[in-house]
Amino acid sequence: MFINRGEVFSIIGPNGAGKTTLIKIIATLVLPTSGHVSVNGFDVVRDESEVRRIIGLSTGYERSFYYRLTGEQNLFFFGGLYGINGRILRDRVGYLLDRFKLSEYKDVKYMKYSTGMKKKLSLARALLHNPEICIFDEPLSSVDPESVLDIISFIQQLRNEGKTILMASHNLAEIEKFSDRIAIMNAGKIVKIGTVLDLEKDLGVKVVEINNVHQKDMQIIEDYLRIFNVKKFKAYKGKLSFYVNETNSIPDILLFLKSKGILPSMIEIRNPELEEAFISVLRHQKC
Amino acid sequence: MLIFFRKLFIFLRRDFLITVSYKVNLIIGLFGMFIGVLKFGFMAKFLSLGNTFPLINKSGGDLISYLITGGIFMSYVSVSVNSFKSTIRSEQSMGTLEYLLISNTPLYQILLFNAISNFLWTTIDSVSIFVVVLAIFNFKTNINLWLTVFILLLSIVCISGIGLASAGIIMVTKKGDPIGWLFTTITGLVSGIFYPISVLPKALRLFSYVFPTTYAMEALRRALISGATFKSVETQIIVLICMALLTVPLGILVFTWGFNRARIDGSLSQY
Repeated sequence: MFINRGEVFSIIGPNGAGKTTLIKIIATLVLPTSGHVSVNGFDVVRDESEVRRIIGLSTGYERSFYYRLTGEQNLFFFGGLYGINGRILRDRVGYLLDRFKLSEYKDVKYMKYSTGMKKKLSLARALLHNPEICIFDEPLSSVDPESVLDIISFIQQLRNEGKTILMASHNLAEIEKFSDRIAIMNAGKIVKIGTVLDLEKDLGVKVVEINNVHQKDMQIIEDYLRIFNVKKFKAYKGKLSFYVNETNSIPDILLFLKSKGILPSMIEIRNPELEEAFISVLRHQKC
Repeated sequence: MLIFFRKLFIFLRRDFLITVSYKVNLIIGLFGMFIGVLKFGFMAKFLSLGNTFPLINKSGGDLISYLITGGIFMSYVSVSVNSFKSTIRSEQSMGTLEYLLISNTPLYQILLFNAISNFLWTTIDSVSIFVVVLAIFNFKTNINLWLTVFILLLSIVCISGIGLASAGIIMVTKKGDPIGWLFTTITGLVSGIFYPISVLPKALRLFSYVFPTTYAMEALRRALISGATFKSVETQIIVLICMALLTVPLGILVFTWGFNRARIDGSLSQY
């Protein structure tokens, strides 16, 4: 797996897929048991100090600051450890607090911060030393919609500045909007990599949506479709969705339904969305 | 070197801010310590009335100073054994350990800075205790300051090897460290902290010679109370240096093992 300089690369996967472990390996916090990872040509095991210098990390944990210190004191502490000091540190901390709309709360103890504020402070810390590579684990989880917008806008700004961004997230709807490439991970392995469009196309499946299906016909259609080996159904408010493996089989299916006297009023055939692609890949993995 | 001291200052500042943020705890702690010293002193005064203690003649013969120096030394032993372990545990529970490492601060610096901070607080406590006891109980002292500092530093280095091993074990077990527990418990029993080792049965007395604290305690007492010279405690100094040459590399080895194991199984931040 390669991540290109300046791209926004996201890793998605179910809980326990190994996203955080992979991120921690890249961030030199976990030692890999096999394989090899390098960041800007630096090996994460051999050259951990060089790697740490060029990355900024923000994990999804709420516990990662000193509760009895204020937000600003925490940033000064970590900034100092990065070797920044004096006026440069004060300016940088001031800028980041401003950027994340935390200036008003800079003198408030961290323990009194809301979850969204904690998340923003964690992102601010990751950027204290202006790293080339930003690694964010679940930056959008447990935050209110306004904070999500703030964070997304900031990530987009980082991308415009040419920074490389690696993210792990569950928020598929949001990350598909601004990720250049996405990797789907399951059971410790990368099972698919590509752009959102690639992933949607590469699945080799199409989504068929039949609208205005009567409730009484729903089960009949499902039963008929099983003849064509169609298994994955989603029925909701008179709309039946299912995946078909080969586009060629769609006319056959429709003809068959027509021959049985079931004429849906509206049929839509489209590529699956990222979430559907993600679910499909995982189901395929289980099979 | 400048970066090293700058980082040390940053850690000390952080600890100071956190400590003073617990105002009630700080006041209670100071008050409790003062009362504890008073109790100790009065008890020693009571026992000393009409009694002599020939077994502690080599250490000045005064029970108050004997017990107070034992108490102070024991607090340094406790910090030396537990500081690394408690640093790891505290940073894990705050969730900050990984972020300290990511900030390109080597783990040995994190441990060292926290230990220095702990030793500073202990020294402030100890000096306060000493001054209070001197003022109230007027015990006899003849301090060789340089020798006291030297022996204290040597003892800290020697015992810190055991502290490192203890921290390495805690990285793996997360809770429960037999090395630190055993060392601290047995030290109190056999090292002549609150009574001379000559009162121990022969088997236990032999056992006491294995512990660096026995030599450290004896040398420290003589430096603090009897104004001993480097020459007069050279045996203890040589033994402590030899023991440090054994405990420190061993401690580093066990700690590195524990740290790497935690990094392999991804449990660095778990506790």
